[in-house]
Amino acid sequence: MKRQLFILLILSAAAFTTNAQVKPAPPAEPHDHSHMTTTAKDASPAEKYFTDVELTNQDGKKVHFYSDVLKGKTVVVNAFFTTCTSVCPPINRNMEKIQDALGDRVGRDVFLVSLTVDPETDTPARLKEYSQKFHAGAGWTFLTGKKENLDWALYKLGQYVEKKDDHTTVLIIGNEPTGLWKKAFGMANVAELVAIVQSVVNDKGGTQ
Amino acid sequence: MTSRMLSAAIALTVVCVFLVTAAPADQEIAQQAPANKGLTAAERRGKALYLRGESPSGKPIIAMLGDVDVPPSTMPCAGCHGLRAEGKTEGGVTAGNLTWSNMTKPYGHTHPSGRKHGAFDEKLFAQSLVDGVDPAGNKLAVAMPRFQMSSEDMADLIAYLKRIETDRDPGLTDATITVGTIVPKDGPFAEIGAAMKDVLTAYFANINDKGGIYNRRIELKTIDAGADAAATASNTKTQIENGDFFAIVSGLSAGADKELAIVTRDVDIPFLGPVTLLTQTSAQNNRNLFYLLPGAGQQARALLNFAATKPELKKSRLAIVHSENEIALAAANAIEDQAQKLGWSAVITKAVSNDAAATVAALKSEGVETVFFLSASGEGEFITAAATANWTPHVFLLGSLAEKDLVKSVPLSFKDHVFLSFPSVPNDVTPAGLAELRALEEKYKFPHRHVASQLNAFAAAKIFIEGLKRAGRDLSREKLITALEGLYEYDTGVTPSITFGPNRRVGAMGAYVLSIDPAKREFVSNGWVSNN
Repeated sequence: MKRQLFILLILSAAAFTTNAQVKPAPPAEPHDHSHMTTTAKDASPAEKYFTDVELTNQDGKKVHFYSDVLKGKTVVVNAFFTTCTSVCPPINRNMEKIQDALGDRVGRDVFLVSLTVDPETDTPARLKEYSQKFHAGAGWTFLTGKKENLDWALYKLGQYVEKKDDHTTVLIIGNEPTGLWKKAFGMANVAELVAIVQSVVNDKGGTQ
Repeated sequence: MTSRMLSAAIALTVVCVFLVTAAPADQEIAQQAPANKGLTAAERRGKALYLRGESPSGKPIIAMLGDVDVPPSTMPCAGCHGLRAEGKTEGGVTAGNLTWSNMTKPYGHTHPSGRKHGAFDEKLFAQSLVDGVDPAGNKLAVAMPRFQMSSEDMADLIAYLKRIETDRDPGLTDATITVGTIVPKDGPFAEIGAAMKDVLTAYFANINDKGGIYNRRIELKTIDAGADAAATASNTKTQIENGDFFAIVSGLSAGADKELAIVTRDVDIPFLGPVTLLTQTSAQNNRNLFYLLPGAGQQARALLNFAATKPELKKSRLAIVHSENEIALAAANAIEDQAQKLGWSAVITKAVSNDAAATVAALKSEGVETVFFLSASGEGEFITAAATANWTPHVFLLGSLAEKDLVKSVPLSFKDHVFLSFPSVPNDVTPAGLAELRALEEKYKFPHRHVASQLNAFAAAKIFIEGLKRAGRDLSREKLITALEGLYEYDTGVTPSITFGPNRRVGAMGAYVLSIDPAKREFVSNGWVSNN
């Protein structure tokens, strides 16, 4: 009986992997942790989890993924690459619509973050040009950087992929201070997406 | 290295300088019969719609993604379904194969998701675009927009989908790849152009003798460079539009660099190995240009980087003395930019003057220690005047602009004080590379002349063939570009190694830095320096 169950489990696992995408092996953790702003002992759980890898934004400025991009903020994050011609344009178009819908709350209560999965091609200059195509305002950051750092940031968000074409179509919406994180389908109806973002922005945390 | 070897090294780039300043002669437009475009008018219109989301009829096309109205030009069919309608998967979203033969398979389709439907026909296809349902009435994936378009546009799109499988880029058939090279038919550079063409012709003939590339022969045709930049640009444009070229390889088009950057972008044709000092690398959107050797800007940056490695020069007071020559200006701008990057702030700029003694006096009184002298003439007088004034700054020059006899005229006090950049040196030619070229010369009986230019054509031909091999039998311009972008430290045997990438359009980024030993009247190599 036990053996039968075991075989069944193997079979179902096999069926799962043929239907769903195989999850890639995690990337190597970047060696350099000297840039962590606090010692590991004082670090918040989120900081310990995400670590504080160095990335570069569309203006060529170095930023740290935890302390500059996530810490104390509500963020809407997606993974993309600038030479993608299929799903990235409509998803980033949705990001733009979220930006428009939330108006001046963007850059204050909520921040948009787009991480490239193709850092070799996507230089800051390319990100800048791309961001202008989507009328990105000050509250929308596009990030590139050293591949190992970017891979690690993406991995911690569950967005790491080995091939750029495998990137997901998911938006990650997180309230760092309260620890509420949600996922949404990037090509969903904008009104629904905005409602989800608002529910995360307005989260007060604590009550469970 | 002797001065004779040096002249061989600079001949290559000196050509570019002359072309820029060449006086216009009678313009001659090359005549060539218009080639058969292959596509019917309806197919051509359908192609514009498929590739770019443009409405051929001018009537509106509306694309709805969910409840969002997206401009069709941002989501053309080709974006998701591929340039050849072969379909692709991204982010877990699979865009199907839209070739007509696939869509109309009589037994229909079963998709990985389990969705099943029968064959499409024209009506069912139009219905799927408008209503977002397959022939069985199942909803299409959410990433597929719903389209509203005029019936004419729909008919054109369908006409193209019926043809797309056999539609190839211009200049490409199952049996041939037609390549253009830009050389002047007459005028002072006709002979150099002919020497380069000899190499290209022989190189491709040799490939064809061995069976071609994936059973395709390479056919070379000439584009007349004409008398000036405007003629080069207009001849090239006309001939590309009429002549069915797949790509342009090598040739003598220096001076028309900006114009050709625009033409190749507009016509969307790869251009590999233009010989020039004015590399158009700021044309970010032009993926078609591939330069082999560094231009004036890259060389100037390498010189400054070299200076920055010398403790006695690093951040010394620096003067850029330049003429209004385009090449000198490109170098001057690059140095200013690179100085800023390196945090080298003590930089002054000065126009070159005929009065060398006055220039020397002015710079000396300002405490200048390092001089970038960027002009097609006058550096010899400048150095002599400095020596007379008992002033010994470090002088940096673009080798391509330097006087041939400079090595003989530098005063002894300037030992290790005069530095020149070169895109390539005779030592780049390896015995194997030379043997390959010599074998071609013997087999195809062409003269060994204007060697530097011939080496450049040889390198371009070799890289082009390598790109074709890597791109595979199912060739397109896009695939050639992607293949070339994958070249990493490729050894041509006659140039520095060549690396291209998505953001790199100059194969050898940097320069050789040579200094002058005035006692021996020789050049001394300081190696290759990167321009980053």
